[in-house]
Amino acid sequence: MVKKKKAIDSLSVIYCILVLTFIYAPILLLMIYSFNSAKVIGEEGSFSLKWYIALFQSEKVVTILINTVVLAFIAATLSTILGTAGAIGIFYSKKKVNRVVQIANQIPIANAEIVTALSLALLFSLILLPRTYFSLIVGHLVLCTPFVVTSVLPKLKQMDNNLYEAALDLGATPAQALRKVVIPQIQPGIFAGFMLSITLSLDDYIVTAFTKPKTFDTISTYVYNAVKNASKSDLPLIRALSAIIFLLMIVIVIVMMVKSSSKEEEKR
Amino acid sequence: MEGNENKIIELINVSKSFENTDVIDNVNLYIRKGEFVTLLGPSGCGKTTTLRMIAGFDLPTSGQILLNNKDISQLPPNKRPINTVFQRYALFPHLNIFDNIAFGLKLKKVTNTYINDKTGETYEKQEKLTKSEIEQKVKKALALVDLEGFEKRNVATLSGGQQQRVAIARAIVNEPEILLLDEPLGALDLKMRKEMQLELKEMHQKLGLTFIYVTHDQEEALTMSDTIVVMADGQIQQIGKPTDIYNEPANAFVADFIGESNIFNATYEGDRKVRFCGKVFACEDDFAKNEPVDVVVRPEDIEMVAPDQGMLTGTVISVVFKGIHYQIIVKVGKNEIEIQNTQSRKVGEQIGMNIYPDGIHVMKKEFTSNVFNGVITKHNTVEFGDGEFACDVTKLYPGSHLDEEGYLITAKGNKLDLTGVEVTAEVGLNDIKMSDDPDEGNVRGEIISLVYIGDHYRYTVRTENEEDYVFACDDLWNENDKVSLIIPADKIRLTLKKQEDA
Amino acid sequence: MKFHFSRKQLCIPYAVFLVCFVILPMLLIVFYAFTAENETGNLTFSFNNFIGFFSSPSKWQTLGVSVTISLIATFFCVLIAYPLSYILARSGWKKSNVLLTLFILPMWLNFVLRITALRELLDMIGFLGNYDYVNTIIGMVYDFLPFMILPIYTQLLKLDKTLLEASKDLGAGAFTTFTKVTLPLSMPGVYSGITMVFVPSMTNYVVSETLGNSNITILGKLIEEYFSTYANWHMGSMISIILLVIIFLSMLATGGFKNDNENSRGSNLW
Repeated sequence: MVKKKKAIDSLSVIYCILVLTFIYAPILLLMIYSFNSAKVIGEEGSFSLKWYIALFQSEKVVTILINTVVLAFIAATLSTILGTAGAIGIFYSKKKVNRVVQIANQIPIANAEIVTALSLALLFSLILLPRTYFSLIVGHLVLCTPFVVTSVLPKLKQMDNNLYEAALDLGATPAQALRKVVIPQIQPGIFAGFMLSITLSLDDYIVTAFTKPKTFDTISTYVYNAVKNASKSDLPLIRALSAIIFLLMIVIVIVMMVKSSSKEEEKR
Repeated sequence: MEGNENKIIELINVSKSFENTDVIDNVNLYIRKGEFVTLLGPSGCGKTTTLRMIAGFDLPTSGQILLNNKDISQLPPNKRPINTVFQRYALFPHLNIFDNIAFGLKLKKVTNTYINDKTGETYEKQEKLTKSEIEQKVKKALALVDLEGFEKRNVATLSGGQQQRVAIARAIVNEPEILLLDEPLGALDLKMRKEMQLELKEMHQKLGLTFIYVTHDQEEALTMSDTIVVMADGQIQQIGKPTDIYNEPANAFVADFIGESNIFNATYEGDRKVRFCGKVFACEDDFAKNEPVDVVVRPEDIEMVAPDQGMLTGTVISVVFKGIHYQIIVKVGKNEIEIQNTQSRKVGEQIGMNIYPDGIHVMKKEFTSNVFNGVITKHNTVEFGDGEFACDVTKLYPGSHLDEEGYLITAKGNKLDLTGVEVTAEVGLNDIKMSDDPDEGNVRGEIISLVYIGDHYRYTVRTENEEDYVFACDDLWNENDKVSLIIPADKIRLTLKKQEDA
Repeated sequence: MKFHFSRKQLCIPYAVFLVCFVILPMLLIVFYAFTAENETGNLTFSFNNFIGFFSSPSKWQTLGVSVTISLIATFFCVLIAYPLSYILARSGWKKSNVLLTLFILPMWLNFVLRITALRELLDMIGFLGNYDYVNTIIGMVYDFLPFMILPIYTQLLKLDKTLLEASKDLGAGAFTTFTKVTLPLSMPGVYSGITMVFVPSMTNYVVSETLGNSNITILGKLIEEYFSTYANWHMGSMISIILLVIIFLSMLATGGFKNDNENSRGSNLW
């Protein structure tokens, strides 16, 4: 029995390592070659930081980076406000309203991104609006807000409904009760919704491509077009860019995890 | 009921319905200043809704709620000088104990009077409480609930009993005119509950506040209250002092709900005599001669004697030791009688029993039969009480019969079409049968109450559209069971609403 | 009456937003799908797009290719993700969620960058340009694997361990316990994983374009082409409608309507 269990354990470990290899091989390869002078992966080259230097010297890439991050923050902030208010409204609405809005909320979640993108593009084309920053923001809000709603709603459901009533009972107006009691209670859901919105916005290509102004680029659209047009000169820069973003993401994720686990321990 | 000037809160003709279901049905009630009043009843009886309407969380559909003779029925909860202790405390988890208790104080504005130094005129200013005032008040409230020094503690680190105390402190620190308590001890274990009962009672005396307490625990109600309001089915069944409610229950429901009781179907024989279990007993109540009544006898009011010396004799069928006393069930004919006594008896033993007039409480029977408004349909069936029933329409017209086409031919030979004719349908208490097959009966419903009456149970079944059927049944079913009801055609007594010329 | 008002009111901005930017645009798609421009340039009701789609062999082929790629990618996702989730959830290790993070960490890297990285790897080993279909499928699996791991893992973690003990107590061996208890109870997780992988695999043309060397057309690409390249909104909308029907059917098949968002995409990400 013990032998069998050990065999299964080591098989499990091997399996995990195999999957991890699949997941990380491309990224590691890219990171290693980002420090190599070779233009094409596999070619001879030596250690070099020239792609990193080139990256930060490229005004275009820096602008795109800033564009992407600013867009993500604006979209996440707006969708968090819209979605949190929406979730609270949905939660306290009558059954019928609640159901209708929730179903509408599920449409962008269940829908293929391309259909969402096309539908918005049709709308903006029809009302003869040129693609502007406004249409881009709307596109990202459609993408993110439903997820804010689905992050906040469960927290509202978990909340003891008497808390709101207790606040009123103690003299708070409905607005004060929302601000002082309900919002603090659902705050983890709001935060999760915000972070999810940032991730979704940073990650998006299709909706962005359909709603962005012609001259505006995010990392996604820039890289996709660079790769598609086989502009080989940009590939090494993209390697360096990926390496930086990935390391940054790892740091953020680790910080968040340490924070949340220490919070959980505090609760105990 | 006297003491007009002392009324602190009064409910006048208050009704409340949620989505067309009446939860509170025309409740009238007043509470005197400083009283400890308990709303008592089974779950779903409307006691919590009544409390929530007083607090302002629910608004009455109709009727008035007066606080100090002013109508507050449409006022939001934050504008009412009433505070609530919630069932699961509803302490704010993101705030510490101090901030929980100070929550109401920080929102409060008080009117301070100042004197202008130059002119000597007085003027008033709406001001928030100062920090030190708040601190002082919180400290005092914590001392009152024996939680000195808990200010900085986190809510999650408190035991259930401590959370309970914080919830009370958070409410009374605002100096409300009325303190509402919604089953506040429900989440505590038995020992803790008993302690808190006494503490709450003490606190009530110390503070001199009006307490309105909601519970389904009759013992809790009897221990703590000045006045008990027994509710069932959205209506007040009885209002009275604990001793009155126990000794003189207004009806079989109250008798059954408060304490242990034997309830018998009885007939008032006149001249302070009542007949039940096949014997005639002397009693202290007065009713019309031959009126069907209910009799309640408390198990401790039955004396056990030798078989030949008792007014009743029976066989002991079970004996259970309950700590302070024995619970002895005796079979007398078809009836099962419960006795509580410090002495035990053996199962199978024959015993005699005596019941004296002061142990017999005679109550008016609420239902002697079910009466509905009905309409005759095409096929000579009758629709009433949410169902369609086969019946014998020829009974409406003596000597009549039906022809092949379903028309009624009267004794004189007149042809009548009864479709749409309004009738009154009456069904006796013993003429309805229950089935758990939803399709077997003519009407479906849910058991909303059951009371054990000597040798059978009395059930109330409510249909979807709130028609109630009351009837007797020997078998034990459960509350909320979904049933269908069978009424044989010959048990439905029809009378015409308008006497037509036949 | 004012008292309940303000909370419900909060719903209004979002409801208006949904009507303007979700429902109205979707209605536009339906409108364009069933209209055509006649000679005078007016729009008239028409089934031409519908007929046009199903009478075109190339469009049939695109549909077939999309569904096939999607089915294969989804299959491999389940094949890889289920054992992995099982190992992680059943490891009994307290910090198994940390380990899980290791597997979904790449999700935080921009997906175009991720696919580009994969492209470089495939280029290095000589796949790029030679095995377009294989590359595309690898790309879909690579990209959407976390969406399969997360719901299955969550479902397995939720599994009441006393059920497994009960099964063993009743005489079932480890294998029987797995097939009769664990597997059926974890299926909701698998189903929501499938809905999250199947639809994007049919439509995410960034993957097929980048890795399939622009030689593979999937439904998503076709829609993009009809909108951007051919400026034929009507056919683009019709293809969208057909896609919506497939999404609807796949959700129906996997019980996606019953799931209460618990496992919806990314809900466990943060």
